[in-house]
Amino acid sequence: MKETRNFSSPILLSLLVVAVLGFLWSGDMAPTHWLPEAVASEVAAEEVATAESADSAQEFQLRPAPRPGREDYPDVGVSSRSIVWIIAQMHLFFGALVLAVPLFVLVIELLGRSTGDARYDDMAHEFMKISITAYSITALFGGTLALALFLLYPDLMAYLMQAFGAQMLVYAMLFFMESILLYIYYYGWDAMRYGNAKWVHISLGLLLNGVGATLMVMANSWATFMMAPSGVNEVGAVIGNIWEVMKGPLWNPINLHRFIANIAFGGAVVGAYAAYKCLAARTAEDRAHYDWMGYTSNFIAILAFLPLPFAGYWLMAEIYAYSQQMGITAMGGILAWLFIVQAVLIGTILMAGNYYLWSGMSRTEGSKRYQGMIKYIAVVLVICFLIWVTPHTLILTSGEIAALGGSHHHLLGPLGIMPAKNIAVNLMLIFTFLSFQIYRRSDKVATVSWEKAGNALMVAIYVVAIVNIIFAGVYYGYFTNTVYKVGASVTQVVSTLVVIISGVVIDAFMYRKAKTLPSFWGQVSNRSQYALFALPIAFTWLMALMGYVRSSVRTHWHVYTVMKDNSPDNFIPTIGYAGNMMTIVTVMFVLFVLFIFWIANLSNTKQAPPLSVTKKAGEAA
Amino acid sequence: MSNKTKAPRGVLAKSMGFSLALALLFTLVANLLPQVEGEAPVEQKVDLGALTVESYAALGETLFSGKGTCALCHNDLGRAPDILAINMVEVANQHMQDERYKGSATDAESYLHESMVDPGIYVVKGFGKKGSNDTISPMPAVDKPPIELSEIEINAIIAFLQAKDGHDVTVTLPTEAPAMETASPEAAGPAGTIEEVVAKYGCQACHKILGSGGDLGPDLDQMVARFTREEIRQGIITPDVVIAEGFPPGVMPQDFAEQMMVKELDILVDYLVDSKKSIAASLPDTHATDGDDGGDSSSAKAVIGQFGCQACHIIWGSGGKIGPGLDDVGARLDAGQVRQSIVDPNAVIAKGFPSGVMPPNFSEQMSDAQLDALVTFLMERK
Repeated sequence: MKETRNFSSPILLSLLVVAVLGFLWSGDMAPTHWLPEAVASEVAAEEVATAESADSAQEFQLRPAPRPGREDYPDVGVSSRSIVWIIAQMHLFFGALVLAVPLFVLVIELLGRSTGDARYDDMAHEFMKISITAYSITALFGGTLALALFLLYPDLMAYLMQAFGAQMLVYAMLFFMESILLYIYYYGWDAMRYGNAKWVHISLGLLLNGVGATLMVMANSWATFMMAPSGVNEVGAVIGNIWEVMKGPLWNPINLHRFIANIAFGGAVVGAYAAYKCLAARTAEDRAHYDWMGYTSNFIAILAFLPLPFAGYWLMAEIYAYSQQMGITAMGGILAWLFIVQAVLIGTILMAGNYYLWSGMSRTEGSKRYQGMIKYIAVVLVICFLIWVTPHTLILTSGEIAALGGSHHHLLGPLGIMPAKNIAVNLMLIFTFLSFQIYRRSDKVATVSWEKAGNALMVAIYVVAIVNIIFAGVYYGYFTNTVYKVGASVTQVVSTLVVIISGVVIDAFMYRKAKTLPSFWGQVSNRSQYALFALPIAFTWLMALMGYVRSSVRTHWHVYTVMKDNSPDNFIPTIGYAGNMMTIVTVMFVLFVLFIFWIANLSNTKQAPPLSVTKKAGEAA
Repeated sequence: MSNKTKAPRGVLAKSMGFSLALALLFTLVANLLPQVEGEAPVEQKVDLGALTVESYAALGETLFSGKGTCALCHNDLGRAPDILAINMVEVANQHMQDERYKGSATDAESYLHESMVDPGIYVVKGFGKKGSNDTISPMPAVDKPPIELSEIEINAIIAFLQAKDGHDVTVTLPTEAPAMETASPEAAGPAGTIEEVVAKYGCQACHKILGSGGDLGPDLDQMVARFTREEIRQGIITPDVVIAEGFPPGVMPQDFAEQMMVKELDILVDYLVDSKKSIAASLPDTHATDGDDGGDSSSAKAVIGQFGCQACHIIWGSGGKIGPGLDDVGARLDAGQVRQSIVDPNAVIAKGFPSGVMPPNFSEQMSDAQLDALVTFLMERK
């Protein structure tokens, strides 16, 4: 049965967005309260004067950022920020999904092409089925977000239009191209499945990902401009070209962070789809297929997740370099507590990922060789998790302070600071990799002559890395001054990376011509599939949490240092309030994803013909 | 082809229930943590004409940890020099002699001003931007966004930095306020509602009341009424009888009794009584145990009130935690040590507390009788 799809919604929304942007860009959008003479500082006035005298023929005029008063924000009866928060977060969730899925689908397609295994191609196609419905929803939320922003924050949007100008039109046009490529890529899958046509299809996938990545970095530039504006002077007047406005100090760190995080997020969501299908499977073949699909999705999610903390380090380092004040607001100021929640979320992700791998070892008899290690890995993970969530500063009553003998517990106090947490995080990553490594080895028996030496080398690398991580954390974290603490974390990260890279390389060579033991897909506990539900829930919540901190570090500024937020919502909400919002958007996302899963299945569902029709067909025959 | 079996029941309900439970668990964690709201800086209306040196320095202290965001980095965590623990006037004089100093300051006041508006002029060793060899300061200019302190506010911080170590405050007190910030109470007729009273006398410049306001004084919306109508009235017209813990003395204007009309005072008192709010910390609840204290507490009480000991120390079970609690000091130290800790506080520093915080000039400010009374009183705190 041929599938049909409603193309209209994203394309109509694209048209709407282009029309709105075009209208605003071409017209004299500036609100009447943009009064440069009233608000610009002397610097701006001088710059205006200089620019006018130097280039009066072109009537060139610098215009500072608007300074809206509270009365300039439309009051719609409910918090404008909450409305935009929910819509923006939903748009981001689905945007992340539709940008990430084609990326690993392309890799899986290439894998299928090179191995000739049709299962890869089928799985990639099925992944795209999820992405294509999600794309329509992304467009719907994108259009709604644009509308909400222009209605609720007209001055901010007018200023961003001024700063980014035609770039926003380019964005809208690329959105068209993305739509067209996506539909051809998905619907042309079977039409371009073999021979040279397959290469055309793969090229289309490459192009699709190129356009998708461009869309992402363009949208990122708006967010990073609001955090760390560039190409503008100190009163917000645009003095640089579009490239200078885009390439702020946080742009590339955010690009990298979002790129990796999107893949992890996308992998987790399609993993939940596979888990659901696996649990609901009615045949052994289906269960095996979706078990394999779930495993692949989890592999993608965890593989992308492992380097994410390092991208996070880079982002935070750049934030500190741009503004120490902003960095401390995030890490050591009012937002510091949310990193306890972050620890809970990442701990959940790592524990769920590990649990899934351990459960998956039941698929093969060969895993018995390694099952004894699992309990030790579990103990290390739990201890590290507990250290990670240990808060440093507690809110205490005077009685509690007296009972503790100070504001910090003599044991928990030292465990609450970054050196202890850095040790814990790095050990969790290393032991997660160990789980992954023994899982991968479970169904293989090495045949190379240097197996013992290779294993000894691997063990040595693990031991040295773990000792180095603990030593660097303890010595530089507790026995030297603050300056060296940051340096120690670099050593620790390098140790972790060495373990991961050397583990992959050694195993690649050691198991090149390995004997493969039988492995039975589908022979896995139902409980393990719930770990695949835990991953997207924790990822979704984590994305929402990080969105909260990224937005909040701007404090009471729409565009940091150049355009103040004077709306009624210009305060940083409490972590509890933010947590409630995160759960709302997570539940909404889950409901929409369920809708997508249902739609994806509906296209495969064929109603049995009524008896009368069957009878007529029989008579005709 | 394999046999088709019946689809397992309840997969959807179980997976949704599991997902929802997990999301709610995360929500619970977020709600269990301390709930702090990051408010945008509020433009405070300060009656500049009524400022004293002490209240100006107190305003500076508020700005130091509030709008100025100085305490974000200048603390004991090693991010920037711990200003509260060092004598900034002495440090300023030393830095000006340093060959690396390129500024044009001639005295501590101008140095401190310069260090705030152009922090790169002199970067303290070890605190420069990474890789700059201490030539670039990570500190933002405080008169520029995002901090945007006004000249008056910068000078208030200088006043605080000078006063905290007992130095003379050399900045000039602002005397004229912009027209929009100085509403003259006399110019208007009597206020008829609590909102009008609060607005007319600028209570929200220092106190949170009616849901908003500053934090220079105690939050009047957060305190449970524990006081009689007369005590509240006294707290308004003679506010410095006893100072709330954690707040500096001398900040609240002393002349409300002259400025307010009786009707207005009644409206304010009625509101504070009726709405079960209270200026609790401003009132002398700490004196309730006077009878049990023993010693010359009536005299010591006056000394403690006059010199604001409770701003930093816990006495009678309440006070600040900047310095060690003094309710058991008699059991820990002998009379000589207590006396030395008052007249030369940096000679011996209690474990776990920073040096250089307690003013070193109490011996000049207190009379011998006051010092004796205080030492006697403290020795009996066991």
